[in-house]
Amino acid sequence: MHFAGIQATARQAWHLLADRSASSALVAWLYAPVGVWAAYVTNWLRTETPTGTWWILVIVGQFVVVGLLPLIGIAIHRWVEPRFRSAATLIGIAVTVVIHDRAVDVVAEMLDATPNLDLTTKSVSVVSQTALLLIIAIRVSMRSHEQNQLDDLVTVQASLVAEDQELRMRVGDIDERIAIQIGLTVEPRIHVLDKQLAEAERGGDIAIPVATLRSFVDDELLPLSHRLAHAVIPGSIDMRPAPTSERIPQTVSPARLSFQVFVRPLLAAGVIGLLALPSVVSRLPLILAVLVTVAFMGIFGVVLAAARGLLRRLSFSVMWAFIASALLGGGASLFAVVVLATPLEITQPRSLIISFAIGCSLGILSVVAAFQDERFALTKDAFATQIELLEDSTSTMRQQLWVSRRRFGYALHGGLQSALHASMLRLMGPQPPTADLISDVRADIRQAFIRATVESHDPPDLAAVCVEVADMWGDSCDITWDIPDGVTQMLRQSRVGSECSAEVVRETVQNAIRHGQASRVQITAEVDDARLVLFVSDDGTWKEGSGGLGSRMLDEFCSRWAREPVDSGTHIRAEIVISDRSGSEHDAKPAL
Amino acid sequence: MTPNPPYEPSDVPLGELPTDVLWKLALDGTIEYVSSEVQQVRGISADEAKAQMLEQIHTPESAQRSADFVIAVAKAVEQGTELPTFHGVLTYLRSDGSTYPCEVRAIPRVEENGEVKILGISRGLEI
Repeated sequence: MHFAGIQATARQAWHLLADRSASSALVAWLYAPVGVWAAYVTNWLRTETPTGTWWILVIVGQFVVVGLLPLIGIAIHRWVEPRFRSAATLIGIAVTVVIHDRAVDVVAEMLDATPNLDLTTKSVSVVSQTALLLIIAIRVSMRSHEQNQLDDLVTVQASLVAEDQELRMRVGDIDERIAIQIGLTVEPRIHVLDKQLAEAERGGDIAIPVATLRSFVDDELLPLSHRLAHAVIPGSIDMRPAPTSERIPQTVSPARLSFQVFVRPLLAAGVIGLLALPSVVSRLPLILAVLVTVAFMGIFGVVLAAARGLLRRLSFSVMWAFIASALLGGGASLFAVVVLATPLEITQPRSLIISFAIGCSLGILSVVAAFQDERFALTKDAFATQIELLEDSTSTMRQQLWVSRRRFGYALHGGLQSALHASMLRLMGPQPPTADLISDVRADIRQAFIRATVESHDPPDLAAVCVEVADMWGDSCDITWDIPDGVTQMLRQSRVGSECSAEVVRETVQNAIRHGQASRVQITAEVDDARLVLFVSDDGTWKEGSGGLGSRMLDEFCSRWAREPVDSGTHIRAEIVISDRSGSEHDAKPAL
Repeated sequence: MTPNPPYEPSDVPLGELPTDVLWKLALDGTIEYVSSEVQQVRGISADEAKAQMLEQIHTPESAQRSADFVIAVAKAVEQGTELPTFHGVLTYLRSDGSTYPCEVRAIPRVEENGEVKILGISRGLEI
């Protein structure tokens, strides 16, 4: 690991200490095995304390930690400022260990089992226990942090599921709603108009239907088509909280674990050294004890590292990973004790058994930690994939809603209004209209109404849209484009995607010219998986977005989009999902 | 018949108030569509509203007027005469048993397949 990596890990560990979970009851309970080991080493092994007394001391020590550490945690998170909480937790852990040792001593005195340990042994014991409690605290905090991340992902996922369901329902609903709205608004007026024209056909005053036509177009059709086109009618997305069942995290457990993942020589050597040090100090002078412990850690770590290096390609089912890791840890520990203890003549048969047991425990804990890490990584990936699919799906649905509303707007605006305008002009000609002409106009209006409400439009071709935009802006701006065949073919598969991408081009070019005074605009498009990516660059003046109608429209149907200043002007990148990967894209058609 | 209570028609276009409920009715009385605003207005979901009979939707008098209109439309279709429209106040029943008067507009419409459906809107009245 590079120095920078170690630094980053240390910084992360320091931050994790500030979390509430680092001083929780869970940390105190997970400390129990260490407490048992410490009491064993400092009391029973050395002083031959009776087993019953030893267990009383162990239980008292554990209850002190369980009672004290969470209280210290509560105090820290109530009275200490956030920036000092890591340091406060570190001090709190050390204080807990000291009080724990003191409490054990008091109870031992009461039971006439005073271990009479020297200060060096007690100090080393406190330091090693503090370090071990610290490792447990960081690990628990890390797990809590990961769980929070998963909870956030579950919330995002649940919200997207709700939005997706709402949108799917809305796609069908919006068509029906608009169809009824137009039916109620437009059809009675057409009916009235037809009656007035029939009256004029029979010799009545033509000024009456002409006035009705004008009022119909200007006061009703025009505002209605604009409201539909700008989606200010009701039917916006109404977000509801997701049902509770959808909030349950779905964890993905690894089926196999690789040797490389669950064997962690450095950490294991550090932990076994901290466990062994008090025991060795109680038998040897401090300096020699430290040297022996470091050598023990070194041998243990090297054996693990060598095994990992040799077997790095191997992977095991979870059960076999537990067995392999336990045997490897136990074996490495036993080997280290035998290599060191024999020349120093400090070996006791009981030490060998205990050393093997501790090594095995470390191996098992290592697999537990690796399993948790892998499960977190796999679950996070699964959520990320699911969220991406949901985002794509909701984006497609929004496009369909938008296009559905727009299409009705176009139908009324383009088809019916044009026909009514033309009818008005014909009726207002220099000569009074004949009965035949009025009859023709009535037929035309009826036809236009039917066409406008049942006809659908062909998907616009993106290159043709670029031509249309270039023609519209004429000499005021030089518009160039590069639309590859792949893009055209892709857009042929989706009318919704075609209409949305056409609208992006119209909107962004219009903004560049009207607001940025651009004299040159370049439009390019490319296909990225199931997305169309549009790039629109211009040489206009950069202006901060005002979050207007155009931005809202882009938010509505682009899965992602960004607008940023560049040296030569402004650059826009917009991603549009063209096909729903679940295969459920359904283009909504007007049903009037 | 009890006279309709006085009310001021709103200037807001049809279907654009958050309490405007849009609906579609077949001539056999089946409700084919109810917009989701019905939840806010009557305290029941659109699906629940669709499954209700006229007697469960309206007070007895309003249910009778609704039924009369549907029958009148069906008769006009059968006889090939001009289809009638409806504009008046009907009283709806809420889920809590209270009543809710609405201005109702309804028009029959011939669908593409030749079937006649009644399109309607119910707008709540503040009296």
